[in-house]
Amino acid sequence: MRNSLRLVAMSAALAAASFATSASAAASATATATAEILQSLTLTADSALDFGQIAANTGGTVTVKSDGSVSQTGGLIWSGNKNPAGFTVTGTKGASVAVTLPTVAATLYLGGNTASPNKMVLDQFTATPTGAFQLNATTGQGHIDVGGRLTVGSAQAPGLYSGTFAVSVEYQ
Amino acid sequence: MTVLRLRSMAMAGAALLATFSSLPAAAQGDLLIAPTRVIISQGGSSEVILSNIGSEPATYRISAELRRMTEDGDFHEVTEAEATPAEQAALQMITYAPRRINLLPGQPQSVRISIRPPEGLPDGEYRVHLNFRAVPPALKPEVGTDPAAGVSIKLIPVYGITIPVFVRRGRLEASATLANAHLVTEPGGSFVELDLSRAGQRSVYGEFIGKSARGEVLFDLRGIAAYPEITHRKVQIPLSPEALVKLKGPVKIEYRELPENGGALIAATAATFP
Repeated sequence: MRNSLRLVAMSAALAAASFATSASAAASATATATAEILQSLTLTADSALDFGQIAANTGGTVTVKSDGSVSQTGGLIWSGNKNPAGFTVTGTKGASVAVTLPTVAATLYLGGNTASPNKMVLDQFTATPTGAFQLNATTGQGHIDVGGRLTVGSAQAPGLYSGTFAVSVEYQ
Repeated sequence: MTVLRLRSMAMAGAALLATFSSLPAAAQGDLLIAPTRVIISQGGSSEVILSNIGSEPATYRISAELRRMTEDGDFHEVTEAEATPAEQAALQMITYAPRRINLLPGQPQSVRISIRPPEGLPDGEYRVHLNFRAVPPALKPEVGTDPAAGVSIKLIPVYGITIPVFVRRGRLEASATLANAHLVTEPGGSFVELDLSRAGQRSVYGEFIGKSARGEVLFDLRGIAAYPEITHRKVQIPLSPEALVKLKGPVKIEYRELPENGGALIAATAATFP
């Protein structure tokens, strides 16, 4: 049993509640507990990167940028909601953190089947803000939007394509 | 009874809506990490707490990666093939466990970090970056998708947090100087830009505090480091609209250790703004 008890300062109410429970349990088991407040960082996903609905037609590209602007090329027909992915970061007030995005393209497969020959490529990731940015001096929060470009083939087979892409928040 | 039935109908309605939206806001994989940097001196070990703050059970994976700081203060990834001997030594001596953790919502677990320095390791600062991220749930074929609807997309973000882990061997010194503080105004906002020069065998880390002649704090940017691989970097300190208005005349800019590390002055400079 460690004789130092580590408490975590955080703003997420749910996590705070669960930590408080385990912390008090540990405290009652250890008479000589000392508390050390640790800096914490949380990352939560608020909204998904949404490319809406696409009728492939002769194919082309659709782009949802992190600033919310959208553009398309080629003969495809594009409709529905188009939104960048949104994330909330909470950490030390006024701290500098950096966003890193994938440097390689992500692949989306028809029906989520990675063996499927039907696939699409997602690349040209953008983030707002880019690189290093400062968390709010009062709330310790920051918001990140992430966008990308999807390339749709001519006569791309219809259906639901799914895949993953990586976003990371870094402390110095 | 009636209430129950109404509720279950309402839930069925909600489920239907969720199926049609291209992806419900994925709360699976939300995470908390504490502390946000780890320094291990002369043997010893440390631990980092990972907590699932999402609303679903999640599996997290932890990996050690290499990063280098650029003179802009950005990071770039370094593959193992590109690693210097010191970076390879860091990857080999810094071990952590577990590497994969299943957590229920609200459940925390500590990840233990320990070091095994090889014989004859030269003094210096060694560093890896530990990445904590959720493993996405297995992609499963969706049923009920109408082919006539064309092409629809489901993108699952794999998002995580990366923190630096330092190992310091021997008596390491470092110092810093500041120069060339000036105001930059861009469409996206204004910031004070300055040059941070670093000397010595280890990194420096702290906060930038700007004070007016009357001692009023105009800005405070925390968590700025200069790593051993660079002797120079640019620092950009964002200014709030209120701070921009007050940024006139002589301003003292201090680079200090964070208060929890003692708050000692590392370097200072003075600048006069028009």
